[in-house]
Amino acid sequence: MRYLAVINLGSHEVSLSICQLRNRECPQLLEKVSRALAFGADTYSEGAISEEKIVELMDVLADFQLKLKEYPHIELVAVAESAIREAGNRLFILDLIQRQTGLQVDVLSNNDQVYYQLLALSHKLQDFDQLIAETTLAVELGAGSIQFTLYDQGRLLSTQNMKLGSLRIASVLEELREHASNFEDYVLEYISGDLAYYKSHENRVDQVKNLIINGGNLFYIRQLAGLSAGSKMVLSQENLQSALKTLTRKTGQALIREDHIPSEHVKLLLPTALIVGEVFRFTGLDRAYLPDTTMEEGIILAYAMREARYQVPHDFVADRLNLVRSISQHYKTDQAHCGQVEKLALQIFDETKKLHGLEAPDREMLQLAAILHNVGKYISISKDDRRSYDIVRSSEIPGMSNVDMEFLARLIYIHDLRDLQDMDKGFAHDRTRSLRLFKLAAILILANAMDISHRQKIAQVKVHIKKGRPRFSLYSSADITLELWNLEQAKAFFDQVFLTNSEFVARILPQS
Amino acid sequence: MFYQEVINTFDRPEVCAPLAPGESAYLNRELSWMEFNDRCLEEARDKNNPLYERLNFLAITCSNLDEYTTIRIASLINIIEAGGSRLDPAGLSPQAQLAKLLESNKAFFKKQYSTYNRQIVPALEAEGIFLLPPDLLSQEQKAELDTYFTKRVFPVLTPMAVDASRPFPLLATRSLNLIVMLEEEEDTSRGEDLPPFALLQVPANLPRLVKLKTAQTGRQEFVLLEDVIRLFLDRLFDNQKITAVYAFRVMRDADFDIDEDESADLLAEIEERLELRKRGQVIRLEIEHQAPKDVRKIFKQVLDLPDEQIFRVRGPVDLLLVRGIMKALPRPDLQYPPFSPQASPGFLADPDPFACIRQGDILLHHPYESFQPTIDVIERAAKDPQVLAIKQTLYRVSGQSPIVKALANAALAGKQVMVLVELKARFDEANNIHWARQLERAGCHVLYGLKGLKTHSKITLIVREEEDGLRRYVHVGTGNYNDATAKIYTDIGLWSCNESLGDDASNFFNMISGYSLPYSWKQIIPAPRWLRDDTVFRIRQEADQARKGHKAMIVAKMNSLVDPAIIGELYAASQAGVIIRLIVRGISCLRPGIQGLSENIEVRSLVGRFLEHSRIFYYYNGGEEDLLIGSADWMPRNLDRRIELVTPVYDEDCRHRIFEILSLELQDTERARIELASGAYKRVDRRGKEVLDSQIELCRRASSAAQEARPDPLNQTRYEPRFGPRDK
Repeated sequence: MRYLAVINLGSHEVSLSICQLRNRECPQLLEKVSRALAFGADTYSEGAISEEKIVELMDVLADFQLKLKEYPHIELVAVAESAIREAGNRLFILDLIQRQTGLQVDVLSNNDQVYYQLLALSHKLQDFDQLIAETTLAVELGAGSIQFTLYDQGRLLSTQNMKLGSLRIASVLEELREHASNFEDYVLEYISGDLAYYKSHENRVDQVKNLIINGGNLFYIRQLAGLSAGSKMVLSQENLQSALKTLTRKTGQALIREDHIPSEHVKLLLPTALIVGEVFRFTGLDRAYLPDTTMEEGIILAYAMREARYQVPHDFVADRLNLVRSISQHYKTDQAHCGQVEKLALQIFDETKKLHGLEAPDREMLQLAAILHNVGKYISISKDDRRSYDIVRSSEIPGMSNVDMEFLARLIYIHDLRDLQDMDKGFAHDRTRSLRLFKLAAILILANAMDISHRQKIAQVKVHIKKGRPRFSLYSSADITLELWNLEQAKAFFDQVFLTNSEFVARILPQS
Repeated sequence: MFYQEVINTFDRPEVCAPLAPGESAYLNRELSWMEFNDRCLEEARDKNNPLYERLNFLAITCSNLDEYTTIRIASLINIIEAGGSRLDPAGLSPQAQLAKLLESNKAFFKKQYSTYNRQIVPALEAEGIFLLPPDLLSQEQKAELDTYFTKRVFPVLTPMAVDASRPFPLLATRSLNLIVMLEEEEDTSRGEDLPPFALLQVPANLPRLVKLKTAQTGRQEFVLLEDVIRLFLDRLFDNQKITAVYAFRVMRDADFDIDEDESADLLAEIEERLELRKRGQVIRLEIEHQAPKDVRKIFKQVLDLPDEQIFRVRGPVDLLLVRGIMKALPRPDLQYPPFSPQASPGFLADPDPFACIRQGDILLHHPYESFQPTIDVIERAAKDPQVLAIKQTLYRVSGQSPIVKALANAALAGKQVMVLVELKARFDEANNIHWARQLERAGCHVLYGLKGLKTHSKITLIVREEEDGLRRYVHVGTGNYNDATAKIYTDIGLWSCNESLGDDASNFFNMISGYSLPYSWKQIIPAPRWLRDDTVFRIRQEADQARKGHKAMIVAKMNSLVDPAIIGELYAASQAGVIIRLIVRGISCLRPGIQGLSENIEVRSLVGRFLEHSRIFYYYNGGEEDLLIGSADWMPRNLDRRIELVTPVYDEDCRHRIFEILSLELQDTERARIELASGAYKRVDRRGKEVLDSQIELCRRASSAAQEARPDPLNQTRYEPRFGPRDK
């Protein structure tokens, strides 16, 4: 029997989830415990986590370790979210945790968090793929931030993070709460700016047919609206208004005493409810699905996929590709050219495996880079490499860690390299990654060079490697003299990386 | 169907006039408790009960009243002294309550001693058992006592003279003492306003009753220890003349609060408070009736005790002495026929108790069924290599608890054992501290209760790794994990490996370990957060059903019904037409049978050989027939200030058994008393009904079921050979 424990240092609570793993089967959650610890209140207002909370955290982790002893040979994953990520003293906190408990905590990027959240909710909502066949907006209401993810026709179109989490808002506007009788108006004003920007930025929001909202406090919103725990997980505008009425009329103490709201959630409910209200308003919808999933469930699923060969129904690789295409479209790249580079790059990759020795994840990285390689031209046509790097680096792609995003951005940055004099653009002190980077860049450069005219003349590439020397056969029914000439200039980098001497020949495309 | 049976056997209570203006719809809790103790006293007066059982009931009323005095009456006095004036739901101020209570106490004492003098003593004498006063002793008997006194008693006596230089000593609560009045010496001027006297504690480590070897033939004769001392008291007071001797005892305030926020070490704090308990304010003095005014004045002055709190008794002080008779002179013929708790058929199916539970939920009804299977499961879990963890809440544990031993063994075997030992279980604090320490030494993770809340729930969780995955075995009960009380209290325990219950049990233990509260529960309904709302919801649901003209019924069994809000909901439900039948052993603050208020409510109390202790709740719920068991009574402390647990029972066999229990108790003609609107109780009207003692019937059924499950080989029609493992 295998057991997995996930410890999550969240913005609002520290949790331990324990599940049972079986090969190819859905992991079974055995128990989950948590302790409210509002790190975010410190980070978002002071920029660092207080000593008091750190001491309490160490106590909680000691309790968790005691609990873990109930399970034999338990596998452990420990992660931290934005409140730790943004804390100025995070390094010291992580070091303390490691020294005292032996736990190695992985600080998640926002992309990681979004991926796990989407993994959990797509797994929970059995009709998820049907829902996203129509325009669907998934809203994750976190303590530190909110995430809007848009789907349409089964494709992931965009995902956007805004630092408007309930705890963040509550912490930042804490002073106002004490003195203002219409605190809710201030909260609305505070959040409306970014939300309005999102709406103008993402004009497909008007077409949203399905709304999915997730977040821990929603349980209490439902409770205040008089919905029982066992009822269907849907929230209507009417339910929300009922909850809002209670929230604006009662004091925190009254909510704790009369409505049994835990004290650690009381301050977060009004911002949560107001954000949900705004989402209803700008989508024009009056009901939302509440899958009530957690990021920890997503982490467990990801682990099970990786270590226990479990398969989730939804295709997240396709999601990434669709999102990246959407980003590419957003920055008005030449879609035909990018598509051509993508096609050719993958053909070259597949045909030259003996040369490069790279694997499937690298292939995906190459594909993403090919799609995005010209996004920087939106800002500057001539100096697009640096602009592309910046755009990609600040994009949100679920499932791509910080390390992955850096790699992708660099790959795109160097897609115009001509020789090894630019080696410093690799990863210093990381030979393996640098090698991967340059290999992929070499392939991308060739693929890009094959469409210098942006006319997609080359239909197919085949590569024959004889005695380590690749011969590229370029099939086309057009005149590819320019492309061949360009390749003779561009091949230098490829030949230097693979220590070879490439050859390019034109071939007539057979009539089908 | 259970519903129909309950309706058919419902004798609608005699309805009395509606409440007068200003009249309260609630009874005073304290006076209701006195009524309960009076019902116990009635059992002592009931000639149909075997004599020794009558002695036992008399002793129970004594110890009940002692505990009640040191806690409840003390608490009222403290409230009054602190200036408290809040009226109780019955509209009485603390002063009014105390006055009525003391008056009721005095009447009760009178009845108690009348029972002893006019019924018990003659009944004992009819059986050849005599308690001889000193003036009826023969010379031979006096000589025997002289030897006994010299050898055994005299060496341990310590008289304490009291005067200006020797202050009044601290008298231990509930200890028996003698006040020895001395003659004033003519040539000394004491200059004091109290007559000269000394105090002498009657040794508690010697038997209260001294059995005479020189008894007359055919008689068993005893002398009270204080009378033995009285006979030879002059030996302790050389050169002083004894003018009178009176026996007495004091009862002290035993209630204490702990400021948990201030106490860094709860264990040490409680131990300190236990010491302080010995010095609590004196709440009551009991003294022999003959003690004159000037003697009583001594106590009034020294102990600052008003007249109302001085009880003059016409008989031996502290009637718990009757237990001494039972102990010194075993007479099975004067007791109930012996009954041994029976084997549980559910646990006979397989030698592996876990396998039994996997076959289906198992209900244990104590004391009709033995508590041993529960002990066996825990002992087995302690040794089972597949068991990963054991968790349990302990409220009151027996002296040599096999459960505690099993938990300690489990920890020593490397299992994760978590035990919550409630240190604040009143009068069991020292016992629980002892067990808590022992468990910690064995390596258990021990929690000493929760801050600000008493943990009263009775639940065990065993986590076991099995071939098809992790399985949780859960026990939820109405009674403590106490093998001693499990033989005399009626309680229900449920063993299950239901997944939802297992999840909830896990979350429950995580919750009491200090983690965040779960959002919701799949099955169990804990207090203090959820149970009240759930109970109110269910009662209102029945009321709604009744208003719509549908069938609606509530049947509930508990120890006490005090909570005004719940009572208010029951009244509303009754007015809506819900049939409500309640079995409340002890305190009931509800007034049944009042026109326009509670015509549809019957409250009955069962007092018998076994102490009724189980808690069962039934709601018709449109035919769903929700049935729950748990640890909570309908009292504010249970619903709002304690960790309690109530769980629904889904297994059909278990439900059937609980329906059977309720059915029998609702039809009991021998043990049941029906509450009247005034709060008094009357026996069930037996006319036209079959005689039924529910406890005897349940004993019979348990024996029969055990017999059926494990038939006597001599009575079988076919012998069953045993096969070796490979032949099976």
